[in-house]
Amino acid sequence: MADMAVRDVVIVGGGTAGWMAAAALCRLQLNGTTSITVVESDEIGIVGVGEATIPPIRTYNTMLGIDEREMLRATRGSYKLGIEFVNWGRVGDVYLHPFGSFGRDIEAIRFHQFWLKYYPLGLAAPLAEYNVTAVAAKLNRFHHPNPEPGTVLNSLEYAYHFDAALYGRFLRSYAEARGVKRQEGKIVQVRQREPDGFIEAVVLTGGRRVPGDLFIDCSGFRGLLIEQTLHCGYEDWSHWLPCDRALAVPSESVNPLIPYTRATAHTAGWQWRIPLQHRTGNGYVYCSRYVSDDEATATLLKNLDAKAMGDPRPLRFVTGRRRKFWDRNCVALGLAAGFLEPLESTSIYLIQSGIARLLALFPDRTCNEVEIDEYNRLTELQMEQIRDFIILHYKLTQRADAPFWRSCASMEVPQTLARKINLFRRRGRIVRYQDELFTEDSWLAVMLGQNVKPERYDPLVDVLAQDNTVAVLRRMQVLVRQAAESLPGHGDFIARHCAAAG
Amino acid sequence: MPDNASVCRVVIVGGGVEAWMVAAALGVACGERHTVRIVAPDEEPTAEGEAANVGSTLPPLRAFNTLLGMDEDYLIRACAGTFKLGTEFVGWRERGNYIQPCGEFGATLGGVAFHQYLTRLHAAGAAVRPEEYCLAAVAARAGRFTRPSQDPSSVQSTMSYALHLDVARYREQLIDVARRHRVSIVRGAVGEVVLGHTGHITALILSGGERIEADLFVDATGSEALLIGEALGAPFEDWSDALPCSRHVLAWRELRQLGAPLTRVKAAEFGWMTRVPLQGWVACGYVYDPTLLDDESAAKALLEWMEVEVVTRVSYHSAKSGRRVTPWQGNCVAIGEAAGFVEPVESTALHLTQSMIVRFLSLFPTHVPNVEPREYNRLVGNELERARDLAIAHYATAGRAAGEFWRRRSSAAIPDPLAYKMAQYASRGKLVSYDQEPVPEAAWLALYLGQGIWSQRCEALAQVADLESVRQQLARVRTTMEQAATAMPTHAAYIHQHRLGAPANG
Repeated sequence: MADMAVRDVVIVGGGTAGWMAAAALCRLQLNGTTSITVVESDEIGIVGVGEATIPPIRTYNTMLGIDEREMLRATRGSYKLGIEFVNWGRVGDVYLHPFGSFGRDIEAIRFHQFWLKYYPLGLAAPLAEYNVTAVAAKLNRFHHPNPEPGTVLNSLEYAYHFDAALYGRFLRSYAEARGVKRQEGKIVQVRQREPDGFIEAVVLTGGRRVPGDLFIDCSGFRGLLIEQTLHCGYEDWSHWLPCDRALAVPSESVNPLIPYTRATAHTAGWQWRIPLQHRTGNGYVYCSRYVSDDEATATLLKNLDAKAMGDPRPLRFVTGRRRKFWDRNCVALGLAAGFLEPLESTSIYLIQSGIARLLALFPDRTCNEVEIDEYNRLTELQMEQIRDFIILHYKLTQRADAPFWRSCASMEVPQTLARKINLFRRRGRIVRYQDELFTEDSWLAVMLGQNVKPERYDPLVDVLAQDNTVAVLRRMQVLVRQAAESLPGHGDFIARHCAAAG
Repeated sequence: MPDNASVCRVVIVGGGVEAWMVAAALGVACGERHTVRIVAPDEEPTAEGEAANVGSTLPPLRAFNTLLGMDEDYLIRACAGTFKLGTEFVGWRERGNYIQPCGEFGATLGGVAFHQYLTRLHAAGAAVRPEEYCLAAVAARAGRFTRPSQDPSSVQSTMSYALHLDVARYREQLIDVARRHRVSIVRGAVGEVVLGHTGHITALILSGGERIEADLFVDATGSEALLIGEALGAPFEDWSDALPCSRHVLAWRELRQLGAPLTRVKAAEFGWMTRVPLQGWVACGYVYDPTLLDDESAAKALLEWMEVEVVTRVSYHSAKSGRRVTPWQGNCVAIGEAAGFVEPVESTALHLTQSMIVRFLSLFPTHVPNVEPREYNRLVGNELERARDLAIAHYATAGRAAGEFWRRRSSAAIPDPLAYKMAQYASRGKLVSYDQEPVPEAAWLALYLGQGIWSQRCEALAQVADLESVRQQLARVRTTMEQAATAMPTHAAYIHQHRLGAPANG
């Protein structure tokens, strides 16, 4: 079978997706047959919307043997403990969607079921008080989790904020140091072979031909190979997620450096705020049917907490997914595979999980349908699951102040999501599907954060004596608070361990 | 809860272990807000009325027992229980046998699933025995046992375990829990089911004339499906084309020396036989295709295998594989065999029942039950189908062709989701999990590898690893497993040391 091994992998596009793929795939070159080339052009801009990440990014970095401090220095990154949502339920509401989990189950009964009973009675604290990651976030503290299982700080979960363009550059040096070739140039033609339509080569300006057995399309929204060449088609989800434009602008950094992302709802979309060491990333994701570009620009600039650094950069997109992510000998990653707004910081995760799936199903030169089917099935499932979680935020708004939000609240959502919301409303039950990215705690944080009140709680809760249970809850809260307060400040921690030069 | 006052009277119908599992769980869950009653036959059926292999459970039943407040040590003593680290499958392929363990194989190395390296080594011509890399299997083979460690860095955390229980005594324990939680017991048989105009059940009339009204009825009558099937006519999807062993004979014999913590499942001429070790005796069964074998011949074959000529108890029972399309219909919820059944080659009988109970509890209805039944039917239906696929997979991958029964099995149609799974594994060792799988991926892996099926290729990343260092790493894993197993006490010694012995004349 070695003779059928893929010889040339060609990655088209060198943004975050392209270099993440190159860095992860470079181990394959150890077989002596496979070589990896990234074709990128300095002329084409890189869309770096995915600057906030979620905890699985650490698995990717660990797999590559990347040192965290080195990476944060190079990308001017900071730590992230969650996302703060402002104005989503009602104007003036603030809630945190932290990483990590809330409380501990008691006698095999879910923690939140106790909370649902005792919070309205005034016998429990606000939900976030039982999550050490959330409390640390609110206190602007950070430290790595305690490796000792069972300790409160063992359950701390974190990810990063970083400059995605710098992360791409960082991975580029990693990949190039391990033998990945970079081919500068703009692709002017894509050659397909007869009769099966496999891509044979891409041709660059000046006629240079780059042949390959497997092509990875990281060319962004346009999908140079997957769409413009192979015409895989696009499933449009904008009836559920109608935002179609964004404006991005950095601003000067402010103190203190907070360890979480902020997502603030405006009248026709929402604004992100991502704190980095040297600046703050901002952007307004909006729906052009409800607001003009000029108004959006004004809103964005008005809501910065420091001076803008340059003019806002516009982006356009259609939320949805490619009908096939892998067709023949071409696999699409990143924006070429589909677009979901970065409300839950999933852009980089989608790239990463696509790469992991590709590695597990890595084909030989024939590109067996068996592997292609599984890749497409899993990718579709994952994008739909994340889509549902993002729709949830819009669907659960109670804002009546703007037509955009009124239309979100009244929209019909996918069956899979409607089922989840209904079951939660009835008795705080959270159903998750297989391999779903977002945990029960995430669903809980958003649904409660946006004021869904379950009609009842799990009857098993009443089996345990009230005095005892309330005392246990109280103890949990105290331990969490003490643990969080023992941590150093986020800014101090970075200054000591991973401050970027200059 | 005060605000769901309208469902406050629940009646369970049935007398087997399933019915009492429901009664105990509802008793615990409902406290004093609901009245829970069970209509059970005048005399409790003996274990003979239960499905074969039923005393061999799966790990999740332990959590269920905890939920009911049943202490595991106490339960083992009371139910002549023993431990189970897996199932040994004998005779399912031409040569040898294999263990399907309660536990993992090896550990993920460099982001690649462990079995990919086994495949690599196998492809390189090495004689690989997958079992040697799985602690639960190594310990079981050596007849050893200890409870696993909770520390994820310990190799003992790669094991899990289940229990072998005497079902009749387990039922006694459940009755005790139900009583303590004020479940009232009505003795008698259901004579008539009274339906209201909406198709809901309004009352049961017992053969003695007593009228029992309730808001919600649980049908735990087993294959009879007295309420959901007979009264409400919920259609039954029959799977016996693929899983035809719908009849079984059970027998018991003494056991002087407790051996390995394993259930044994042996392929037989017209089905399969099972052996479940308990303290002091073993429960054996022959599960067979009644269209090919009569009861008497089945009993004879079973006794031959058990190497006994006469046993004190022999019993027969029928249970057809298939599922009720709407196990929750109106105000009637079917749990256990009444909702669906899969030939228990994977010891799924009690597992499926407890899983249905847990789902039902978490979906306990309010006044307008429409969201809940749909979700229950979806989840229960999925899980039964996945259990069906798992059972069929044993036949589909078996290396036996002799005889009418096995000829039919090898040419039987394979459901699409299973065919997809098998194709994924065959190509590159990819293990596919759908929603509501009753067993973890490792169980599938053990099945494939045990039946001698290796994927055509391994993952690319396992392929590029240096062969010699893979060899060394795997050898280290093997040694670790062996050492960890050797350090454990024997199964019998563990039971003795932890004072888990059943009362001598129990």
